[in-house]
Amino acid sequence: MTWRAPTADDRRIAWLWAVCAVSAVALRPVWLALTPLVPACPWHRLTGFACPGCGTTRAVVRLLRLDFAAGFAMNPLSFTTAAAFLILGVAAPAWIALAGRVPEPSPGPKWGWGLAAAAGLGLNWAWLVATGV
Amino acid sequence: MSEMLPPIDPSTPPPPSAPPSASPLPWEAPDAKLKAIFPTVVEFVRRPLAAYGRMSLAVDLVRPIAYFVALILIKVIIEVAWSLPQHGKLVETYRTTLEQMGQGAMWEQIAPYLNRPGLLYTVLVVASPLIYLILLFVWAGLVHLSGSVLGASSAGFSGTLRVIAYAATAGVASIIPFVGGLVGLIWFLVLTMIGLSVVHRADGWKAALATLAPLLICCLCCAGVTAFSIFVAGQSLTPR
Repeated sequence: MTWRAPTADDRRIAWLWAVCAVSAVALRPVWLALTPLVPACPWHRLTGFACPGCGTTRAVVRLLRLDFAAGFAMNPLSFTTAAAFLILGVAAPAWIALAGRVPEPSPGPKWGWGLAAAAGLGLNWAWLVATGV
Repeated sequence: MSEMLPPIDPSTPPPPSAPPSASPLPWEAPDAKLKAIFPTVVEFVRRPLAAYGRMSLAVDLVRPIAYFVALILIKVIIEVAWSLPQHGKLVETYRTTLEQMGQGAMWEQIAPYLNRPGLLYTVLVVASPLIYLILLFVWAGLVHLSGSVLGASSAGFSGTLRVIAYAATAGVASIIPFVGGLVGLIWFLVLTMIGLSVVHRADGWKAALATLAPLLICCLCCAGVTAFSIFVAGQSLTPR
């Protein structure tokens, strides 16, 4: 991984990210109204155990209601990802404007990333099953 | 002293000129107007491989994103046009389903929204570009992450974003009644695979896996339910 000066595309992406993050918060009433339409997890209903994505909707709803501790407990991975999406999205244009550098992954497969992602998903799933989400 | 060029052999054919650069997509032409959207849609419907080959990685990112937003608006308007005449029936079916699932309380919560179709569909059409823009960004991030793990991300995140923005062409499948949404979803995934393989110069299997990996992870539970159901059905059908 190297760090390089931002390109025109990076500036556009930073602004798009900011628009998405701000819109996600601005659309809070719509998300909260849509939440009841999300069906219950069929895996959980059938087996009694959480699936890897269980609690995501509840975690995001608690994030939107600024109930951070409860949101994190619902699904740590989804909560952290959603929070990072919002915070980094708002910060991205400022970072680019202040001539911050952007990461450039090295070419070729990155099996280490894959292992890290699988480990993260596995640990998160273990947490969900252990806490009975 | 002047240098002399070697004499030209008249029997030797002239060297081939450089191949003409592919013409840009109609939507990406410098003088493109809004009506350029239709030939671009036709291009992606008829020759997606060639269309992604003509897609520029240098043109302003606003162009593909504007195309995405326009196609989403068309898709949502078509879907609303299909849903509106059958709104009462759809709501009744949904209410019955919820009650059968023992989710009557949920129905009480959402009934005020569903029983005002004018307001519901207006909010849907107005909010859909923003909602889908968020989905575009998040989905592109997940696909790009999968592509990076597999080594199918040479054109960067903006390349993946452009591919998925143009894959929104599949939204025109909404014009097919009843199954348009499903057809559009499958078509969208296929277009994304084609685009990733062209833009990132990736093997087909890598492009396919990068596209499907986020879905497979999300649907792990669905796959688990299917496997569990088959197992239970098998157990109950086995003679004892």
